[in-house]
Amino acid sequence: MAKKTNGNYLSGKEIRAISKANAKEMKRLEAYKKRRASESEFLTQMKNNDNILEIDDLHTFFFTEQGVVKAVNGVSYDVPKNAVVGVVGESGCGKSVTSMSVMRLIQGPTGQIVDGSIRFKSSEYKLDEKGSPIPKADGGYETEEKVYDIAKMPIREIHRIRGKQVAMIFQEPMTSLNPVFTIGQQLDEVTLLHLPGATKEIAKAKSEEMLRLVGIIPENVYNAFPHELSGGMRQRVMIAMALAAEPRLIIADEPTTALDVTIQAQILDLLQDIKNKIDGSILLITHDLGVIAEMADYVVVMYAGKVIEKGTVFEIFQDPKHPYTIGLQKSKPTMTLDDSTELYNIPGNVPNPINMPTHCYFKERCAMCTKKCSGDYPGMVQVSPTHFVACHLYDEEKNNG
Amino acid sequence: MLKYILKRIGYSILVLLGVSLIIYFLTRLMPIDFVKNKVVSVQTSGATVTEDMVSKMYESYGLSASSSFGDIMKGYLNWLKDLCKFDLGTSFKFGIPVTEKIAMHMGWSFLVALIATIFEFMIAIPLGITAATHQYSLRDYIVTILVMIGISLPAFFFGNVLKNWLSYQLGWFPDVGIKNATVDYTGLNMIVDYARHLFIPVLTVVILSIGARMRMTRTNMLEVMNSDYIRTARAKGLKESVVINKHAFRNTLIPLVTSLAGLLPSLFSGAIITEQVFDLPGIGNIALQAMQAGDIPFIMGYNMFLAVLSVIGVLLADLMYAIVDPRVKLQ
Repeated sequence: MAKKTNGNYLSGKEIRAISKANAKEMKRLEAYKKRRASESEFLTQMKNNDNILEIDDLHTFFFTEQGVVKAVNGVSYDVPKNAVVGVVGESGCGKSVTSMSVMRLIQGPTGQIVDGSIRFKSSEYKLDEKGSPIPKADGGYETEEKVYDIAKMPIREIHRIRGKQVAMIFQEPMTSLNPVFTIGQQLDEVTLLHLPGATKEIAKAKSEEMLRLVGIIPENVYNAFPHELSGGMRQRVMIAMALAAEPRLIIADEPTTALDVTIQAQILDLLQDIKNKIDGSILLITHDLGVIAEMADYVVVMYAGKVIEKGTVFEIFQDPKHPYTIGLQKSKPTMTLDDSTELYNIPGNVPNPINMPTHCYFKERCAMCTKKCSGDYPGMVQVSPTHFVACHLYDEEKNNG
Repeated sequence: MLKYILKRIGYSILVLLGVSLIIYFLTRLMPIDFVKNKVVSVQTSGATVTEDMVSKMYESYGLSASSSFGDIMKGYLNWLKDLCKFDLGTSFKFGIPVTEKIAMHMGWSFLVALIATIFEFMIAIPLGITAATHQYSLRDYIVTILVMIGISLPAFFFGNVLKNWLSYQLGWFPDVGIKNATVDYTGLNMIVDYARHLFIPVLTVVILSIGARMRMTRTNMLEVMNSDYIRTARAKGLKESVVINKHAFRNTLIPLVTSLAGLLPSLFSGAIITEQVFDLPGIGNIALQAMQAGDIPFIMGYNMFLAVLSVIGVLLADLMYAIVDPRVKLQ
């Protein structure tokens, strides 16, 4: 790339060079996404069989005219079976992009999964020679487990995962429902799509059951249009829709951000409830530490497209290691805070995502910076069987121990 | 709903009164005087015309020689009085009642416009959707460039190019007129004859009008495709074709249906230039002749007819809106 004279200004020549390089890369990745491939190409094995989702060194980039934005830059974390994993981080740190990558909902051609793997253990209906599911004696159908690498899946195969295996609750309940279809139509669609042999009656019964599960009286809402419901009600409908196909993993992408505080509490209670009812896992993405503390079993802290610390909820809250996590904990408002003390904030800003430094991304804002921090980006250090941190402060401990 | 429609019709009558007043004044202020032209043509043929005869002529046409405000107003009120008796008057130029003349030529214009509009929608909407769903791809660029060429071509030029190519060079279609003047066909042969004559005019109108409709579809579709509920539909696991053809298309339809109702007057107004190029006996052609002759009753009748259609079109558009978009409630 041409040498930059000013960080904020790109000459026409530079822009042309960037878009040429981008176009080539996007074309290659689009073709890879749209290719036809046999199942064996994206079948894989889990590293740890207790996990349901393993994100391994994921890179998701956006090819913009200003340059390549490395929104997710080598993220790895696992979601164990029947667990709630919370992902925290500030806006733009890549937590949503990671979850969208799992669903393969990244908007192409600018957004692309460039590298890494997303291993997901899916539970599918076993098919006979004719391709129809085999019924079990006690109702339902026989299932089998398959591990897919979602990152390598051609986009035409993604319907195996979406909705049926992994469902998503979005952060904008006001705009996430189609305004021209009734709630019933939109809910029925899920059952009709994923349950073999589902009729309209079965779908309606299922939808009504799901609405009741999320605390809505179906008679009032089934035939209503989205604009006739409040935001909290719409989010409940979204949750009902996500649950309708009985997915193994629910990704809740800031499910309470757009709602007011009283409704937030209700929705969280509901998620908590549902977690106990379904035999699945929840990947909860939020920037609200309170929500994480209440809901999560494991916590992943992200900063500027990378995971900087992960561990159990107790480890992260009681013994945070990374200076950024410590800062986050300190900047949480508390009831005991008196008016004279200002709320702590971490100084400085996230570095420019197009032009990331080679050293630790947090260095400029870090209060505990050492000489070593000007060196390479720190690797993941294990501080306990479940607790990992990416910080040079803990390198020595590893070396000594 | 009924109350809403009645209220709207009430407003429409006021609007139409205003429109008729403006059209009448504009027509009277035109530097064309039908009586004066007639007098001149009589004089050139050698006859003498007295002042008395001229004023009698003005009187018989319901006009006055001066265009003072009072005189024009008087003429307007006379026209309005006749209108209340459902009488649009007799055309100066054609010498038959205006309603009769309009009815005689409206059919052809309507036929051409209707066929052209059907083809326009059938071609433009799928093109707009593919262009939007393959944004910035080669397909998008090709479609966009082709329809932009279509928009930019003037009708008199492109109509003649097509006529020259398809009629004079290839000889596949007749060049002008609506039917074969030498043979009287019946039954199926007659329809085929009409179709052959209408082919090039319809093709011209369709190619010229696809662009705007396609661009509109593409813009709407892009907006819809980027919305959150499309992401939800994808997240459900729906196939991309279902996402586009059910969830996205149903939303793109809202502005399209509205624009469809707005087309009502253009179905009847006639394509003035295309009808000239292909010498079709359509209403556009006749309206131009009437305008050049200062035929006040015809101009008034023709424009008022279009004004009524426009008002109905707008009302229909609003009613259609309520049908396709559940969020809209009319009251």
